[in-house]
Amino acid sequence: MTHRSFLYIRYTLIVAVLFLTACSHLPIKGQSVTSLSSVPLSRIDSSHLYAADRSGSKVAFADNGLAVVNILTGKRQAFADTSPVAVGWSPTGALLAAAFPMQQSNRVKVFDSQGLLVAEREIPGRISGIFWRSPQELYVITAELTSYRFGISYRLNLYCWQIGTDATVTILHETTIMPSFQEKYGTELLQGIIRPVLSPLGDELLYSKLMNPPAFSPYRKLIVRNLLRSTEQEIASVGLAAAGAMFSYDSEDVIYSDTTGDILQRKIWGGDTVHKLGLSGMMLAGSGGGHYLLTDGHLNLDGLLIATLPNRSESTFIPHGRLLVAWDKILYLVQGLEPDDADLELTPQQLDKLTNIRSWRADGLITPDEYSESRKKLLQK
Amino acid sequence: MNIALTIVLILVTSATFCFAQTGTALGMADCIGCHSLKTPAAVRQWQESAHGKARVGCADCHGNDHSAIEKGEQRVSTKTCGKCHPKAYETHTASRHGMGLHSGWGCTRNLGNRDSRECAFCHEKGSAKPLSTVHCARFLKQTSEMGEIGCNRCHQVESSCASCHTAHITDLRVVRDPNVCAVCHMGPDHPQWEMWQTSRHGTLFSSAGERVGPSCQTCHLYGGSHDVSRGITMSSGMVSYPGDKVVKARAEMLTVCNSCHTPALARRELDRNDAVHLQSVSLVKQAEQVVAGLADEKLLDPMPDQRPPHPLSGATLVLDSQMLYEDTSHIERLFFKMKKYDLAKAVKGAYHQNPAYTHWYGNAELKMGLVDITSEARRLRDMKKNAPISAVAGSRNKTQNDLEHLQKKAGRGAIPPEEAEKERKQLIDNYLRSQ
Repeated sequence: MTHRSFLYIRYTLIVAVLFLTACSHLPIKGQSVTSLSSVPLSRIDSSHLYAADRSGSKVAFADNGLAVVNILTGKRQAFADTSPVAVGWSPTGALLAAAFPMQQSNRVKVFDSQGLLVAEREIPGRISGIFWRSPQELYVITAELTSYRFGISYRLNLYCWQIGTDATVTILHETTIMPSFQEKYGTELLQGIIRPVLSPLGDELLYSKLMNPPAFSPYRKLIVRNLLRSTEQEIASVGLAAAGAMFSYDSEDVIYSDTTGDILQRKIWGGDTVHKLGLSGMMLAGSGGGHYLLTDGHLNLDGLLIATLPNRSESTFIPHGRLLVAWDKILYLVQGLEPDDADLELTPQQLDKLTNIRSWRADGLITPDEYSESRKKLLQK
Repeated sequence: MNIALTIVLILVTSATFCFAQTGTALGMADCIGCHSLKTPAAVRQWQESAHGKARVGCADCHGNDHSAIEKGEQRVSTKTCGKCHPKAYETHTASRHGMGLHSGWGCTRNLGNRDSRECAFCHEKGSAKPLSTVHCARFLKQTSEMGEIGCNRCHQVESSCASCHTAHITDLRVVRDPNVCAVCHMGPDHPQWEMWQTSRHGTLFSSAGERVGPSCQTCHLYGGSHDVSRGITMSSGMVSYPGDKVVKARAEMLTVCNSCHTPALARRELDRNDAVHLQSVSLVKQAEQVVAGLADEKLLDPMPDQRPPHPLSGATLVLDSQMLYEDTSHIERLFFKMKKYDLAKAVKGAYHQNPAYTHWYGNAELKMGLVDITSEARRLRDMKKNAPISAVAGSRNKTQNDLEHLQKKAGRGAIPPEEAEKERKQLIDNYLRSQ
């Protein structure tokens, strides 16, 4: 193939993609839709896998490979020619981690902003989440399944990889799944229908433990784990059907949907009072300031429905009143919301102190009340 | 029909009687025949004993299964003796001697990593009753030889009357001699025999005989009882019993004392001994707080998580009766001596009326032990103070260490909750103000 013919095919493909996406339309219904507009950004795999960086300037996604689009300029860059199963940007957006499946394992690769490979390593199991805790510290959650005659040994691992050194592994959960579970639900469910989430402050992990007791129906325990002290707090027990769980904007609460789909909110470390938000849904997304909440496509502003997006869309709020929505194999950028970004503008020193006192609270070294008082003092500075 | 049944019954009864007679008679003859040559001393002792004279045969105690006897599976336990001596068996079993195997031991049933076969170390299958063999190797990492000689020879008193009475001699002179107690009740951990021997009671016993100087048996096996715990007001670890039990035990001991002394004198002496007990325990508690404080500050060298785990408690600091003398830090070794040796000498020395043991071997050693421990703690803290600390991590790590230390102190009640709260707030405020 000559260089000229290669260029021809490439441009034809790009035009085809642009045509396809330009013709796409994200249906947005509701009373305040006039201010909202949507632009298709790119085609995306049916997995609807994507991740935006913290500043909301670029998004990495799976599209018959791994690609990155600059949201502001629309410039697209291919990073890999196979689709990843998980992606995550480092806190500064300088590095992108992506996990590519292999036969029994995964190759986790770290790229710089130009798509150059910085580091890679093999991590076994089925990956259900990738998170960066700091610019050099990557966490990977995997599920390892081993089948026996009496059932499936199910192990949830947390790998901590300091880029440039070996990864250490912590077993988050280990149990035996009975054959009846496998017959009824298959093994896909074991990967984790409640996706692990990192707190906005980057210090705590929300994940779920699958429980399969012999005499009861299987269910999940929602767990928050403080990554600095490895202490865990059980938030709730929810049914297998319950899908959504996320941290509140300030990392202090967990918002989750229970088995019936009701959306509840509870403090992580200070008591077990649960608040019903009067909303329902299984797929949740929240804005940085906590005012917008998207539940199964219902966009709520301070608890009031303002618009409706397609039900099975995968959405993420990004700064400056924007929303990324993956629906029907297209990734859209929705604009026109009131900006509702994180109001915790912390200096690195404040962030360090805040995460430390949070870890002491998680470990019981200080009481929740003492923590609240200290947090207030710290944020007043 | 009735006649036939009667004939069958007569035949069965006769056969049973004959076999029983034949078995015993043949068994005894066989035993004596061979053992007169193989173990002549045992046969002679048995023949001269009350058992021999009463025709209590070898099989009555040892059973008929010779191969099992050879394998050591037919040990003569307290249960065997208890069939004919029920009162002695009951009082012995209920006494501290009846807990000989358990003392210093802890059941492993709550250990996560326990091998269920370990139950068999102490218990017969399906029984809460202990066996006669102690496997000290499990806990103290001793060799089987050391376990057998160093541990079992004394602790088997729980399940073996022979510990005191010997195997075949029934002459009561053997067990009424205080030397029989010396086999176990001597040495650094509980030298009651030496204390008694060099006390006024012991020297009088030696010079003027039992009528003037009381022996171990006079006070502790009063009236020929097998209850060695009678009149004792504390556990073997020297922890006082609950009040009502103390009152009863004290009354029992006073009965013994009053057979020679005036009630006023006996009570005054025992009150003084009680005071020495409390004062000595207080010194040990002070040392315990120092060691626990160092552990809170992660200053033990090595820390519990840096050494082989304690067999019962794992990688945690153990300062109670399950404390070990190996795989510990130096300061714990100093504390072990205080708690296990010096405390026993001071307290038991007082109750046995021995001034030298009470003071020089006990009280003085306790005080010097506390000096050693305090000094070692200061050295460890100085080492930490002088260790280089990264400036960045310094404030956070220090606050975290201080908070952990405070939590542990509050957890063991060494600081009132209000004071702990105040200190905690101060630590957090300092941390928030730090650069």
